[in-house]
Amino acid sequence: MTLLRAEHLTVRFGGLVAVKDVSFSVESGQIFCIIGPNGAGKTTLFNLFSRIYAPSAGRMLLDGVDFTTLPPHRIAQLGIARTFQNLELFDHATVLENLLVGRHRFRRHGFLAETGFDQVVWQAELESRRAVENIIDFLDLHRFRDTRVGALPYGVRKVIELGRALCSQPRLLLLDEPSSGLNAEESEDIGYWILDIKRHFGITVLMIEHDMRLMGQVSDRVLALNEGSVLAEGSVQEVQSHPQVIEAYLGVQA
Amino acid sequence: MHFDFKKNYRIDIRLIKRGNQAFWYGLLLLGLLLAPAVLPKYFVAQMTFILIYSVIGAGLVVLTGVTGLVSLGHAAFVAVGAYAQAILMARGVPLLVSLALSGALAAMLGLVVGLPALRLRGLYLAIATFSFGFIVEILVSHWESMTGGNSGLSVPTPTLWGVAVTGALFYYLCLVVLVLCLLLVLNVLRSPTGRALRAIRDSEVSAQSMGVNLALLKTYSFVLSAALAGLGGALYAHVMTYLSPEQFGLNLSIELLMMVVIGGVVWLQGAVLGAVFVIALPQAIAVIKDYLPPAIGQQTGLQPIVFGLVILFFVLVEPTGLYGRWIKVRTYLELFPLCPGSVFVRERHFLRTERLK
Amino acid sequence: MQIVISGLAVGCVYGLIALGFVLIYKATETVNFAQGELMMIGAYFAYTMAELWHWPFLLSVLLAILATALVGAAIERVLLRPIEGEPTIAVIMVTLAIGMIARGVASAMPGWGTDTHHLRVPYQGGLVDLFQARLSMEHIVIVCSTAGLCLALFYFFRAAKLGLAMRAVSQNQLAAYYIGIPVSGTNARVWALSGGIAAVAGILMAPITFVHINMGSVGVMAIPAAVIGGFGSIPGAVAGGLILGLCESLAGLYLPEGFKDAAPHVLVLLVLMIKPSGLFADQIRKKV
Repeated sequence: MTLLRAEHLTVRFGGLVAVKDVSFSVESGQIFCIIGPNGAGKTTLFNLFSRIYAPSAGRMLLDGVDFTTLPPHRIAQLGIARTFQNLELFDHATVLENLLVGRHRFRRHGFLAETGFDQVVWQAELESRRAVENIIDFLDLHRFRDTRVGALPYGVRKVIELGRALCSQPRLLLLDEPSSGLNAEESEDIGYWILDIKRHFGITVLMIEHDMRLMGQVSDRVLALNEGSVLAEGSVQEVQSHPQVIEAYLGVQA
Repeated sequence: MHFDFKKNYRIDIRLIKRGNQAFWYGLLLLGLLLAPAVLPKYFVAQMTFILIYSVIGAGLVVLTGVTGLVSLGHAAFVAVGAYAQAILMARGVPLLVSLALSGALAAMLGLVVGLPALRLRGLYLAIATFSFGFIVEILVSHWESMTGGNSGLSVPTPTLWGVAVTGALFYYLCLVVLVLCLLLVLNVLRSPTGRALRAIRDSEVSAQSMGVNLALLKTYSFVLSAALAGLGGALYAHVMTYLSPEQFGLNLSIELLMMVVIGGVVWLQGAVLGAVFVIALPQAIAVIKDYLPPAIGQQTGLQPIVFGLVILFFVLVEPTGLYGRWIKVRTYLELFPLCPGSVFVRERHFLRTERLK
Repeated sequence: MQIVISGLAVGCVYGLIALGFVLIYKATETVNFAQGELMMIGAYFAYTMAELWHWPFLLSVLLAILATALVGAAIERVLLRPIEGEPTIAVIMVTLAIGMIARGVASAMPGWGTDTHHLRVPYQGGLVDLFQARLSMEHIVIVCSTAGLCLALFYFFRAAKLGLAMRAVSQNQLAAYYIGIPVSGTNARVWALSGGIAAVAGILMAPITFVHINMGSVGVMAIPAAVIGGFGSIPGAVAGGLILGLCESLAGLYLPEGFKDAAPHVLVLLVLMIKPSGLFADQIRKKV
């Protein structure tokens, strides 16, 4: 079953075409990896899916629902969560609070109920906390629960961002370079977690990755981009041996 | 040094986290209740001012400290609340009803101003509110049929069930209002909305991608703080007993901001401490003036200079404000003698613009 | 016609102060709420040298501009450098505090005080007949010097390295630092520049409004000008100032009394509602 479908997506910034007529679809339960050299338009694609940018042309569908013009804050409710390439955490809040923000899309009560903090809010809060504790267990973040995020090392923060995205219980998880800035050991951990996310939670993962080892370890399917257009799509081996991909990466004729 | 043993999730959510907190805040409340019986009238009047400023300050903490937005026109909301209160009372509206209405009116105005400005980044809100403050000040001074213009407007004595609420009674009224407001704000801050507001302050993009409706929540924060300012203004009207437009100029807006900055902008306790400071400072200057040589003491510029220096001191030296300093002292004492010097080292920040171009 | 010219002249002064706002905003992403006070200081410097010390007028003007530029740089170095990168509120509070202190100190200075002073200029009271309208020399001087200054600035930014460095610093301080741009030095120079411009505005304004400690409140009117022009656009600032000056003098003519002061602020709210990024803005959006 197709979860995410991108149809002829194009993005123009002034005269620059960042993404040019990109189409692909991600099957439910897949780990789908996007690769490509810098400036290939990978992050731009992610920004399209989280509706930070609007496409100049094309459509995006999640499970058959067109979300091309949905306001950005409704994307989470649709079931898409994401992480950021350069970490966008809430630095002045604790790890627990950061993860709880991930639960924001489950907020059902109004502002008035909150000012009174009635039983409904209490129950919702306890419910959120339980869900968050599950993620804390899963990612082994117990030690940092009450620590301010700004004070933590980069590797841990990377995991916290993954956790925050998981807390919103998405159907589709967008990971923007999950291993960038991590050491070999940490990125191996991330690899296992990504596989676990697919296995335990049944979440479909769409990720951008530069680390070929990590990509090979987890991906079911790979899409290679260059200068905004699709170069190749297929299994890891197919894409890795594709002559145009090798050319784009190494700059030589294969 | 103490350890927290948490047995369930409720401990993290409830307002009072430890037994000794309940004790100290209870003691403070008791002291405040007994104050009018013990202290001279003048002090009670000053404390009433502090309570009112704290109500307004609580709103500013939500807006500035928690959401990270700056309003340079909060005096306008105070003015709207104050004038609404005076006009409604003169028309015979009961005290409590008119208090609520004044707050609601300010909130509505906040909605009208905030909605367009809040789609933008923080600085634009500061400027939009700045302009709005001017417009309100000019409107108030020119709408003479309603506000009495520059000649002023007198405020009727408040009565509740036939009893004139003045002096100590009015002090109690303000205290009740303040406590209710603080509880309300505390509830908002510990709820998902409060977390979302803090999220907006730290990173708008990721808050948005977690499902936070930026425009809605920023507007909510702005409206809430406008409502509190209006409510504070309504109470303020009764203390002043006579309203004129120049009381609500840019200077009041700055004074209010200064209050939360001095107190410690991210804590509600900071708003109260800041209010104490801002009310006490002019008094202190007036007292000290007599002991200074006339060349310095008689300068009209003395008060703005002192205020300016105090702001500079807090922003440059103690950006976490009075309450932040208190937390540091408390932590130091709790850890003594094991507190390493590096605990309170400030992080270095670098400007990274949000502009694309 | 007279109204238009006097509106334009006032607009030029707004534009100059707005220019100061924009320069500082471009380099540091903060608004200097003490810009009006810098202008007041500039006018006082000129007044002190020309009137109290009886120095030649042109020399006094030049020295006043230099001195105010120094004050601007000093403010940056001493007060703003420690809070680089702190939240908006910190900078807003510091600049507001600087304004308060400047006013307080000016009122305490011997020879300045709280009185209104007169800065005599050589072109005082001159009248010129042009296109069947009688124009005062003061207004013409304002318009001409603003135009000259803008041209000079324009070439300065195109030709000088500082212009480029400023733009780099304004976008990413850390990156600019890494590639060897002296970040702090650049900011200090920007502050000096906008201090100098403020002094020019103050001296131009002096014959019309006289010199007094509250003349800085014109700065309050210039913020709308900067917003209308779209904060961050240098030609926009001047254009915004002109629009505002015209708007104000026309409002004074056609609308009931009192609306004159409110007009610029109503205009700002309208601009923010309709075209939020200003009339001459550049794109504002965060990159992730």
